[in-house]
Amino acid sequence: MTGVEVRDLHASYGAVDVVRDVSFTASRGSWLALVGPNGSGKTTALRAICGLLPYRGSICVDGRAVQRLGARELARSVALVPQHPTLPAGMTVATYVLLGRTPHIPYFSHEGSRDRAISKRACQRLGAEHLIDRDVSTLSGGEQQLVVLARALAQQASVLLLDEPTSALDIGHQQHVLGLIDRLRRTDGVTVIAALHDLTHAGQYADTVALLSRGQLVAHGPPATVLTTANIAAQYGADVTVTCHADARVTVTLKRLVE
Amino acid sequence: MPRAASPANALAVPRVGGRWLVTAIGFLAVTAGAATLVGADSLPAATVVKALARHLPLVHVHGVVPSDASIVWQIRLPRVALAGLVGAMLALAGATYQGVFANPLADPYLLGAASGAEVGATLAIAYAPAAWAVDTVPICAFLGAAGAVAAAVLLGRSVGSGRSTTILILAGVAVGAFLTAIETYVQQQHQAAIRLIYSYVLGRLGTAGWAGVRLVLPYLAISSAVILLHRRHLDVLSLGDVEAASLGVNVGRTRMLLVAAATLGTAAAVAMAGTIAFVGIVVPHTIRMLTGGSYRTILPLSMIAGAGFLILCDLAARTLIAPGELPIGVITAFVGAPFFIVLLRRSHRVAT
Repeated sequence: MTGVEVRDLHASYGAVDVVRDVSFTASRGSWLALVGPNGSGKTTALRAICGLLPYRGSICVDGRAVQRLGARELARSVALVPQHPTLPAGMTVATYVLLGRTPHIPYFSHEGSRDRAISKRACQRLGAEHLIDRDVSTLSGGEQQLVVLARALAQQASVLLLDEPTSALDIGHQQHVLGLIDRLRRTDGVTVIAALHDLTHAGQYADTVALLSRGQLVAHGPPATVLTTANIAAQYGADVTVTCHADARVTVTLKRLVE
Repeated sequence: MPRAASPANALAVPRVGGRWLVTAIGFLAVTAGAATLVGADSLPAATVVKALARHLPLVHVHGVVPSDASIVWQIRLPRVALAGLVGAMLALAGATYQGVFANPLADPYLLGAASGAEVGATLAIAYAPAAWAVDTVPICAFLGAAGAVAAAVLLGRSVGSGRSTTILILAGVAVGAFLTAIETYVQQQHQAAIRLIYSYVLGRLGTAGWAGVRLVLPYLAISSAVILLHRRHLDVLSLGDVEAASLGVNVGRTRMLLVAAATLGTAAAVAMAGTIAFVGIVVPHTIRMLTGGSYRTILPLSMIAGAGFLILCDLAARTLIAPGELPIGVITAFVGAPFFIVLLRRSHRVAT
């Protein structure tokens, strides 16, 4: 199948498995949200999918096993936007976005006119064109996220892995960035797998939600079936109000607890 | 779709060009010119020019005293060339270490590479049989430098929290101090060889001549070729290990290759010029401040400016207390140490 298929995944940094026996699928062009409390293994699962961690089980991207792919080949299929991207001081946005072309450029070569055009187009599509001469380390939080997304877009991968893409943004920028990602998957058929802290973001944007707890998958399905008051109380220990909307989208609201 | 992208709809690749390249080459030309014209023997400028012109093909110059000609051609010019080569190499190695370790404070001297090279050279002079056909000094200098950098990196990692920029440097300084102790001990044990050892430690810029240029040139050529071919990879590595790997780069292998190349160049430079600190910090950071953060411009400009900088320092070393001479490391430390402290304050402020 096209998209991402994870089956019986065990992944670890050291001796102890951080992710145990996790299976989920994200079909091409869909949005899968990985949710779960801190330390539940969301980041570990993302890193395993982009080949940065050893794992047992199987991960297939567009029908090909991740372990069998070379690093460059995998990077042409899977792009990662980490939670805290490194933005080297003094580097311009243009240079930074061009680095997204790395898996497409031969070892001793440099960006050709095609790479440069693709990178420019990535900036234009994300509305980051006016930033290209700026120093990446001086950008605001919202601008930074646009530029990091532009680099991932320049990578032209069919799968986009996002680790907390909105954690540093105010609500207006959150909506803007999530909307851009949503549009990319609709127009380009990019498969999105995003670790999300904000359950309303998961409920509004994801087709499928995978709820992890202590490294294991405890629920998997459409937002309305996974993001229930019972699941959230059991895994997060939080008392929330869940509202299901007519479009099958969900909002999750925090309640004030009175002692 | 347009067949070829016009500049208007494509991003520009960082490259060396324009005014900074002209400025750097101008700086090198001026310093090299001044260092050739000025020396312990005050020859008139016209004599120097004539002595140089004699070596141009199809040019016949008369009226140059042979001794003046050989001062210019056999003493001053090779010294300028050597200082330039060593300066270019140290600046390039510094910029490379800074990129590879994502550490603005990295420098061939502070990482222990220079001390390691010195110990290697000292051991080779003291213990290797003089009858061997191969000159063991540069090889042992490289092994010493590589061992010192490896020790500093391992020591820094074992302390943990590998993110801190200062831990690696402290480890390098500790390794350097330890190696210097070994070196001093070996020197005391081999009084007979001490003159030869000292000539290595204090540097032979002024005495090695064209033979010295021929000795270091192959090492510097290999080292700088490897590093310059990887200038785009250094930009990718500056994103950190996780992101570089997610872009399909073999981070471990690339880093190893670049460290080996920078260390080989450092060892050759130290075997020729002795320990010269801070060039690897002052030059790349100045370039970075002026031209921005891409290694595609930092590396080549650092080489050119590093050559000019060390030629200038060498000129100061042999003219400030003429007819006496200061060790060139004194001049670079005089400029570099305050620069380093400013940098330390800045990097500390960013880190906290």
